[in-house]
Amino acid sequence: MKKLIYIFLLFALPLAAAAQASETKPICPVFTAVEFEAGGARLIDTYLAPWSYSGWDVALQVELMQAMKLDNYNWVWQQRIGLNFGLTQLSISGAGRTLLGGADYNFAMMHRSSLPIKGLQLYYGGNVSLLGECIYNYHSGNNPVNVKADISLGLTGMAVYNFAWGRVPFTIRYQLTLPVIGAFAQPEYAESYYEVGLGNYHNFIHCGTWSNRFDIDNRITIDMHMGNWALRLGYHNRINTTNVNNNRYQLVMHNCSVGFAGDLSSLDFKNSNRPVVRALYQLPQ
Amino acid sequence: MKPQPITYLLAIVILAQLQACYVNDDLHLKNDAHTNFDALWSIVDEHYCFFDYKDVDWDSVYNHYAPRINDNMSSYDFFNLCGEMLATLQDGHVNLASGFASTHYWKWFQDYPVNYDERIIHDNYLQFDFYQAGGITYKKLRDNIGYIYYDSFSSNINPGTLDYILAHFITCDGLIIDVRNNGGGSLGNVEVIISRFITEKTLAGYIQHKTGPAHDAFSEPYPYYYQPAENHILYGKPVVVLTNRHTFSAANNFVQVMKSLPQVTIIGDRTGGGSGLPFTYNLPNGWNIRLSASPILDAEGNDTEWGIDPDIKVDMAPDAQQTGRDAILDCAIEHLTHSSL
Repeated sequence: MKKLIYIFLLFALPLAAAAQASETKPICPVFTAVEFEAGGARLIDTYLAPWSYSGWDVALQVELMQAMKLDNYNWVWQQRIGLNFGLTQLSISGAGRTLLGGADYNFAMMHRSSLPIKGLQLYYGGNVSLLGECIYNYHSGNNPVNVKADISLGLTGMAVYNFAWGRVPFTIRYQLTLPVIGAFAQPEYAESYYEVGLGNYHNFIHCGTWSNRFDIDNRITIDMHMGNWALRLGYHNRINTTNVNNNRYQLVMHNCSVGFAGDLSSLDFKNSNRPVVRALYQLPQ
Repeated sequence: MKPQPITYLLAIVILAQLQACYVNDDLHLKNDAHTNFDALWSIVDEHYCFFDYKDVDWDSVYNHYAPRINDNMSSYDFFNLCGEMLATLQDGHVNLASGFASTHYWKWFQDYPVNYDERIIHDNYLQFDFYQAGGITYKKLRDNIGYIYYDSFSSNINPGTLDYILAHFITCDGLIIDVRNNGGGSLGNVEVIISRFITEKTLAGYIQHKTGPAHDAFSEPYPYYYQPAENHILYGKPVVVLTNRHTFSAANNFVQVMKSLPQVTIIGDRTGGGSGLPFTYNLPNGWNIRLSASPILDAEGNDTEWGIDPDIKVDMAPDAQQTGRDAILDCAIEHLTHSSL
């Protein structure tokens, strides 16, 4: 008897799901944003030199976001891919040079909650981030470079507010990403990468917690909607901090950004009548 | 009243901003002589690896030199005073590099016989008829002995080139590798050459590093090994390595490993040492300080910072030099000729 019930469920559930899908069929475009960032960076890495460096930084960020069927479309996934490059000099004297370059990837799943204030929505959830950063100090020697590799699990959340100014709709968003636990690489106090290359990985990979690693990412954007697309202006603040093996590292970036955001599939001109949701944020509350 | 989630969020953000303080640690510093002197002294204090080995009291060095610093002194005076202070470390790997000059400690070889004259070798042994490739000068000498001169481990060696060179000497009774006046370079090139003279995995030595700013904070010695070069020519006949006091740093490391091989004899003078892997750091004014940071020990766990004694000690006699003879090279040829009998 049990077997018959299982067989029934096996066939009946997909049919039921299909029936439900055919009833609602909400449109969930992949919300895409491309941003170019430029701003200032301040850096200290005592493995390379015990002084801070400051200079400029540029970055390219790509963001993808889409509503999920989970919990009646109250969850979204978000992916962010970033590339950055900077040039800094000794803060004290303006001499010396340190280059930094890196790439990062974030995947987040967030739950959506509507707040009593009209137009305001709150998203919150978990985040996985991968970060690779290379810092090169022009002093050469056997310690000219320090490589940062970091994987972490953390929290992320964003507050989104939709409003209209005249006839133009706007969306303001603030997103905070806060890695909590993970792993990262850092050689010992004065261990050369030559020695690491010989196979000495002792104390090279560290469990990252807020006791030895603290990263935070703050983003504020404002989207001015024009049809299916939006002009995006923003501010991005990123702080990466590690303190392990008697080596302190911190990178602080303050970047302004400009870009565009919208639904990439709307570029499908063969299907110009396709109804699209202007932005993920404007799913019904 | 129960705190709202937004309250927690704000608290986290505020905490995060409090973390952002490392990069502001040095905002109060001025780019003056006192600041740069203290920075130089502290960097050396926290990173130099031979204080105990050389019995240097770095605190008393500070007390001796710090009163002589004033913010009105010229860049050259400041530079010279720093160089004088760094000379107390007696280390050829310690240099202060400014935009106009670098300090050097020369005494590790200047108080010793030169023991090398390139012109004598070119005139009377190579007759200005030799091959050169990849920083290596080589020729078959009289008595069927091969000769290689390698002047710097900074010159990269192509494995294919090394195959040609060793094939050229395959019928010789022995090989001389002359690393006199070789001031070092890349440890990678040391391995490339030594991998042709071993037939099994060989313990090359140990490497250590500082684990913190204390003078005695060191990691456990980590053994490192060299493997014979696969699919390349190996040389198994007797080898002599020629050394003088100017055989330094990576060249010192080369001699250290070669000396442990059974078919190798070291002839000449004690090497100049320099067994600490150097690190470099910026001073606040942009000058660079290079210093020994990571000791490399031999296969018995001994430090070779003060140099390595040869198996056969020979100096170039001044009278032999005047007749165009290199006593060290002659000794090596004779040694190999006899060992091949």
